[in-house]
Amino acid sequence: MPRELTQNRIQKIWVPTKDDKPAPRRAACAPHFANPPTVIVMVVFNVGEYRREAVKNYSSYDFFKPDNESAVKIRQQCALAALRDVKSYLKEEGGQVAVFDATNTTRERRDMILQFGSENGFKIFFIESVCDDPSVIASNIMEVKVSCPDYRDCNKNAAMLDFQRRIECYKTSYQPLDPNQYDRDLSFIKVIDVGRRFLVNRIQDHIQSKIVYYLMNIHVQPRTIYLCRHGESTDNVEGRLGGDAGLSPRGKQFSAALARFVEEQQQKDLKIWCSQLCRSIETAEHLGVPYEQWKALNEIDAGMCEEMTYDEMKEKFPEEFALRDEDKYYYRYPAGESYQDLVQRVEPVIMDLERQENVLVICHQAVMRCLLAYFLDKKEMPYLKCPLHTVLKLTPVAYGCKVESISLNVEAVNTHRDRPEEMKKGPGTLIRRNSVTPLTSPESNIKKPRIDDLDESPIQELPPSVASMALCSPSHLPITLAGQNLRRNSSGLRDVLQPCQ
Amino acid sequence: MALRINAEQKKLTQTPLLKIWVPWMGYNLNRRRGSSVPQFCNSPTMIVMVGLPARGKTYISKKLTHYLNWIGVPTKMFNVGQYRREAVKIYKNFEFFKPDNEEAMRIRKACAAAALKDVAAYFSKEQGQVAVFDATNTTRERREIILNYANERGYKVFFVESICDDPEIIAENIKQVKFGSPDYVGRDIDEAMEDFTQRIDCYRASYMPIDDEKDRRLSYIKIFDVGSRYLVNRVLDHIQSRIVYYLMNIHVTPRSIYLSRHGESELNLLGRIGGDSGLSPRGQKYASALAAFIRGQNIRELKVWTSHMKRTIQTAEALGVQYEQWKALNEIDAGVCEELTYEEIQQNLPEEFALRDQDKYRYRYPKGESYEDLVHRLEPVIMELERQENVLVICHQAVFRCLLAYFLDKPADELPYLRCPLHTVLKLTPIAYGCEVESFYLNIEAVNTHRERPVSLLSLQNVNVNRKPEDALQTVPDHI
Repeated sequence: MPRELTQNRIQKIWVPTKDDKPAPRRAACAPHFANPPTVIVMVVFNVGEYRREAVKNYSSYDFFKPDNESAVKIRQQCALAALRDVKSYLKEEGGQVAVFDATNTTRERRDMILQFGSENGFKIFFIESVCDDPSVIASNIMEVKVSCPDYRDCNKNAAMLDFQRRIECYKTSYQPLDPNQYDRDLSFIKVIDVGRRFLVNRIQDHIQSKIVYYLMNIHVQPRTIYLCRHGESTDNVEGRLGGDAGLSPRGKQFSAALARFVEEQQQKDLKIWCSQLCRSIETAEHLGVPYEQWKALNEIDAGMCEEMTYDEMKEKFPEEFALRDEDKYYYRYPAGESYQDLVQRVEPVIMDLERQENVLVICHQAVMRCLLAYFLDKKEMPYLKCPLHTVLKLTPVAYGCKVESISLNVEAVNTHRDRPEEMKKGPGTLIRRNSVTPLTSPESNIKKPRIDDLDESPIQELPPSVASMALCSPSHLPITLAGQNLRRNSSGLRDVLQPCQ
Repeated sequence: MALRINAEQKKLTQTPLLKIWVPWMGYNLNRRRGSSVPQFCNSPTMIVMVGLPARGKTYISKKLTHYLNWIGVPTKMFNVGQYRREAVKIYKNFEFFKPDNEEAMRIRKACAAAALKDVAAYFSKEQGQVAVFDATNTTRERREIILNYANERGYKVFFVESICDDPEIIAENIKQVKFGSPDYVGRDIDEAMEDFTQRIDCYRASYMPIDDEKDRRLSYIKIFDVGSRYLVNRVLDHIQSRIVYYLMNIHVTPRSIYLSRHGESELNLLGRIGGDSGLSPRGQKYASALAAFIRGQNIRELKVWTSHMKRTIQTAEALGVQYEQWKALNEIDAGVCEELTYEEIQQNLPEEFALRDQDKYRYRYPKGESYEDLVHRLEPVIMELERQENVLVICHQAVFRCLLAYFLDKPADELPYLRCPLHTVLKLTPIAYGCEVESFYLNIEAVNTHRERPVSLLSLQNVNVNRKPEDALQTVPDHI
C-alpha cells in the first residue's frame, strides 16, 4: 500500500505522513551529494589556529624547526584535537563536509588522516597547492601573513623574514602528493601556480567533482563586483510583491544616476548582468552599454502571492504569512519558491561570477540577499538589508570581501521587512542544508581545542576579529569569509554594510 | 562619453513568443544591446582531440557535441576519418597508415586541410560557436598547423588528449566501435583486430603527446585511463571550464537509465495541464506495476529520482525503496495557463496558443517557462545523470522530452514533439557512440496527453494567430 503523503507546511515538500522507516529516511528532499561524509584535507603551507590556541605567544620561526621536540609534540596534539572535532561535526552534528586546513606536508601525517577516515567511514579528498613562483609567495605573505595574529607585534619586514624562515622549516620534510606511485590511489587535486594548472586524481563522487569545478573557476585577479537592485518599480510603490512591472519615475532617475556612477567608476571591461524581468532590464538599458540577461537572476517566485501586498497576503493567506515569518529561509511560497530554492537556482550565476572580473549585477531583493550572503558568508540571508537605489561595491581582499555601500541619492520606498519581534530565531540554518552551494561556515567554528595533555592555563577566548582572521585558508584562494572585521586604511571606504538583526 | 538615451529606446516591450523584454527599436533585434542569454563564448572555439586510435576520441567528441548543442551552444563535429573515407573509397589495410606511405600521407594531409576549411566555413557562414576537430593529431607538426590556422582567424583552441595503455580497455573499444566501422564491414573479426592493431602501431612511432613543459602555454586537458586522472592546463574561459567539468563527469561503465512519467494523475484525466494533483486509480495501478517491473529487471544499486510534485512522489512511494526529490525535475511551469485545459487556453488566450504552435521549443508561457528554460534548469540533472550508474527518473512529459532529446541527440525543433506516453518506461543503455532504447508499456490504460505538431500543409495557416478555433483544437487529445 502506498504511504499517504502530506505537504510540509513551510517547505511545501511532499513527505509521507507517517514515516515508518525513520532512519534512513526513504524520501530525501534533495539529492544526496556527500554521502558518506567527506573530509577535505588541505596540503599546503599554513599555520594552525589550534596551535595559536595552545601556544599563546608566538615568538619566532624556531617553533617550526623540525628538531624542536616539544613544539613537534604540541603540533601533533593540535592535529589530533582538530580531528576529534571533525569527527564530532560529521557524526554528531549532522555535518557533511569538513575542511581540514593544515600543512599536512608529510606522508606520515596524511597516512594518519587516511587511517582516521577509514576508521570512521569518511571519504578523504586532498587539495594540494603547489607554487614555486617567488613573487606570488611574497605577495601572499604580505597580503595575509604579516597581519596575522602571530606577527601583531612585529614590523612588516621582520614578519616577512620570519615567515620565509618558517617556510624553510617545512621544506625539508615536505613530501608532495605523488600521483605516479605512492599516492596514485588517493583522491586529490593539485592546484599548481595559483590555478594555471590542475592535476586531478580519482574523483569519487559528486561533491568531489563539484569541488574540483569550483576550484578551477576561482581566481585571484583583483576585481570588483557591484550589486544593486533595479530602480524602484511601480509595484514597489504600491507595496506589491513580485510581478513584472516597469520603473517608476524615481526608478528611472536612479537608472540615470547609475549610468553616471558606472561611468565614474571607470572599470576596465565591466560586464553588466541583469535578470529577465522588465524592471531590471529597463535599469540596464539606461546604461547605454551591452548587457546580458539571466533568467536565473529573476526575483523569487511568490507563487500564489505574486503581485499581492503584504497586507493582502496576510488577509488571504494568514497561515502562510505566519509560516513565512517562522522560517523565512526554508519557507516556500505556495506554488512558488523559497530562499533555499533560490540558492540552487542562482548557483550557476555564482560559479560564473567567480570566473569573471569586473561585473555589475542588477537584480532583485531576494536574489541580491543570496548573492551577498555568498560573498560575505552571512547566515541571516533573508534579513540582509538591500535597499533600493543603493549599490554595494564588493572588492575581494585577503580572506574576505571589502564592502562599500553607495547610495545614489535618489529617494525610494523601503521594501525591507524585519524579522518580527515576537518570532524566536528559526531552526538552525546549518544542519539539513541540502543546497548545492556551500553556505555559511558555522558561527562558532572556532572550536576550542581540547588538548588534554598540555599543562596550559585555561585557554582565553580569542576576540572575534582575530578569530575570523585565524581561520587561514590556503593563501592563494580568496575564500570569502566574514570580512566585516577587517580594518584597513579607511580612506575611500564610505560605510560598511551592517546586517540587520 | 556622454550617454544620450532617447525616450523611445528606453521604452521596453515584451516579445510575444519568448516573453523577453526588449527595447522598442522596431524589433531590429540585431541592433539590440542586450543579449537575452548569458554569453558563454565570444570567439569561436576549436576543440582538438589528440590520441592514438581506439582511445575514445570519437566517443568523447560525439558526447561533447551533443551536450554543447543541448545547452544551446551551436557545435559541430568534424571527423577527419570521414574525409579520408570519402577520398579513398575502399580501405584495404593498415598499410595506408604506414608513415612511409607518401601518397597516403598526401591524401591524409589534404583531408585534414579540407576539414579545417569546413571548420572555418562553419564559424563564418553557419554561426557555429564550437567545432570539435576529431582526428589523431598525434604529431607536434599537425598540432602546429591547426594552431596557426586558428590563430590566423582568431579562434581559440582547446586540446583534449586521451591517454590509455590498458590493453583491456583498448581491446574493448576496438570491439565496440571499430568492427562496425565502414572500414571493416564484412571482414572476419580476428583479421580486423589484427589489422587495427597494426594500424595503431603505425601511429605509435611518431606519437608525441602534449608536453607539459614545451606546451605549457596551450590550453588543454589530458585524460588518463578513461578518467582516472586529469591534467588541466590554462582554462581560458567559461566554455572551456564547462567542457572540462563535463569531461570529468562522464564515464564508460555499463549502466542503464530508466525514464518514466508519473502514473496518470487526476488532472491528466481532466485534460488539464500542470498543477500538483495526486494519482488517479489507474495511476496507482501503474505505480504498482512499475514496482513489479523494476524488481523484475534486477538492477544493481538503482537510484530513484522524482520531482517535488505529488504525482511523481506517489509513484515512487510504490517502489518501496529510497528515492531523492529534485525540484529541477518539476514539470514545465505553464504560468497563467496552469491547470487549464487546452480548450480553455484556446478560448481565453488564442494568441498564446497559436504562438506556442509556431515555435514550441522557444515559446514561454506567460509568467511561466519555455522548453528552452527547462533545458537550462535540467542541466545539473543531466550532469549528475552522467556521473551516476543505474538510475530511474520519474518525471513529467516536458521534462522527459528534454532528457530524452539529450540522450538521443534530438534537435530542438523535434524535442517538444517526442512521444512520451504515460505508463511506459524507456530503458536507455549507452552503447558504442549512441544509446539503445527499449520501450516497456506496462499494460495499464491511461489518457493520451500528446499533442502532435499541427499539420501545416497550408504552411502557416494552422499556426496563425487568427486561425479558427476548430483548427486550433485539432491536435488536442481527448479527455473527460
